[in-house]
Amino acid sequence: MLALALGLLLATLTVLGLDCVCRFGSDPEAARQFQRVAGGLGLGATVRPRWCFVNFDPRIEYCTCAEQPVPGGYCYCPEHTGTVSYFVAPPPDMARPNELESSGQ
Amino acid sequence: MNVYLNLFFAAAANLARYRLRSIVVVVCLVAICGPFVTGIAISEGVRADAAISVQEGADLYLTLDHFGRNGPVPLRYLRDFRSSPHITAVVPRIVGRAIASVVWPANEQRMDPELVVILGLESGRMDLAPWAPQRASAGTLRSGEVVIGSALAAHFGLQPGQELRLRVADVTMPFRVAAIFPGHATIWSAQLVSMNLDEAGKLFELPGYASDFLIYCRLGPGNIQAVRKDTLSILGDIPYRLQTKTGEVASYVDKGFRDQQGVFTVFFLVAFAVGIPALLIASGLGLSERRREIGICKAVGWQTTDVMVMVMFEQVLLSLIAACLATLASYVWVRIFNGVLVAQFFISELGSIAAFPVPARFGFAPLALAGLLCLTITLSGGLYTTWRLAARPPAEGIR
Repeated sequence: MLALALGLLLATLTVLGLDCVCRFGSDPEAARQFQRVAGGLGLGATVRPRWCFVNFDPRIEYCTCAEQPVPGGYCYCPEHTGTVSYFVAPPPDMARPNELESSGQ
Repeated sequence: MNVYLNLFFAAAANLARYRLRSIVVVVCLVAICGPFVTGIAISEGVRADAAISVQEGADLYLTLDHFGRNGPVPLRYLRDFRSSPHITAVVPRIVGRAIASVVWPANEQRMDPELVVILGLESGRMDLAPWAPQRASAGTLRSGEVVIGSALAAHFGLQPGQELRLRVADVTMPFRVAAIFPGHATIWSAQLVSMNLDEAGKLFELPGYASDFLIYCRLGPGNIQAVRKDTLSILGDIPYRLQTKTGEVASYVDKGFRDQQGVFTVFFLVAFAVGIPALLIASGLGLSERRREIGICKAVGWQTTDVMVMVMFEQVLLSLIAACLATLASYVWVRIFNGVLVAQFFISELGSIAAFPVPARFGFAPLALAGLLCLTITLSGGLYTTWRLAARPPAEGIR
C-alpha cells in the first residue's frame, strides 16, 4: 500500500511538473497576439455575453441586470452564477466620473 | 519516533488487509475530488488568460457615462487625445453583440443563428498574417471581410472565403470570412467576429462612435495622472469613465477569481464533510469490523491515542492516494477528453463539447487542495467514531 501511495504521488508530481513546463493545450503567444490586437478583450469564464457583458468583460459594461425587470430588485441574470469567475461593479470611488476627477480624488 | 513509524506501517497494513473497504473509500473520494480539481484547474487556466488580457490591454479605457452606464465615445475626440504628449496611441474600438447566420443552398441543412461578439477595430489594425498565413501578402482586413472565432466556424462549418450574415435589430449585412482565429488563442475569441470599425458602426447604426477608446500612455511616473487631466480638459463637462489597467481592471481579475474559487472550495468542503459522515453513520459500513479490531488492540495494551493515531495515518494514506488519483483522472479528462460534459459547468455558454481547447492549469495547488479536502472528509468521518469505539472497555469491543 505504501509503495502504491508513493508511486502515485511520484507519477502525479511528474505529470504536474511536465504540464507546468510544457503548458499542454495552451498557447500563450497566440493569446498575447490576439489580446494585443483586440486591446484586451475578455476576462471572465464565459464564451459570449448572452445576457450582459459583466462576466465576459466588466471593462465593457457594468451589469445592468439589476435594473430590470424590477429596478433595484432581484438580479435574474445567469451570468452571475455557474462559472468560476464572478465580477462585481467597482465601488463608487473607483468608477469615478469627471466630477470626482476634477475635485482631485 | 519508532512508535509512530510502527503505527504508520500498521496503518498501511490495515489498508491492504481490508482492501474492499479501502477501494470503496478511495473511489468515493476520487468521485468527489475529480470535479473539484477540474474546477480549480479551469479557474486557474481562465485566470491566466485573463492576466494576459490585462497585460496586453490598454493602460486606460475611456467610455462616456450615460445614466451610470458605459456610453459610446464620439470619434471626433480622437484627434485631441492623439495630440496629447502623454499618450503614445489611442485606439477606438467597438464591442457589441449581433446575431450571425449563414444562407445555405436549399438542399443543405440550415444551422440555427448564433449570438456572437462583434469587435470593430480601425482599418489597418487587424493584421491577418498570424491568422491567415496564406494571406500574409495582402496585409490587413479589407472592407466587407471578417475574422471569425473557431467555435463559430465549427458551428456553421465556415471556411475562409465563405459568406456570413450579421444582424443587429433591422440591419443585416453580409461579410466574407477572411480568416479564422485559432482555437487555442483564448476562449473569448471563440465566438468573435472581428471587422473594420466603420462597418461595425454601420451594423450598430452608430457611425462616428466607438464603444470605448483604448489609451496607451507613455512610460514614466505621473503619466496616467497627466492623461486623466488631459481627458478632463478635452471632454469638459461631459460625464465619462476611465478604467486603469493597474487599478480597476487588475482588481477585477484578482477579486473576481479569488472570491469565486474560495466559495467553490468552501462549498465542496462543507457539503462533503457533512455528507460523508452522515452516509457512513447511516449505513454503518465497516463499523462492526472496526469495533472488533479496536477492541483487540486495546486488549493487547494499546492506548486510545495509539488507536487514533493509527486511524489518522490510515486516512492520510487514503487521502494521498485519492488526491493523486483524482488529479490524474481530472488531468486526463481535461487534457485528453477536453473536459467533455464537465467544462460547461465552469465556463458558461460552452456546450457539452467545447470546440476549442478548454483552458486549464494543473499546478501543485489543486493537488494540495484535493489532499486537504480528502483529509477533511475522512478525518471528520472517522476520528470521532474511532474515539468513541476506542474509549470503550476492550471487552465490549470484542464481544
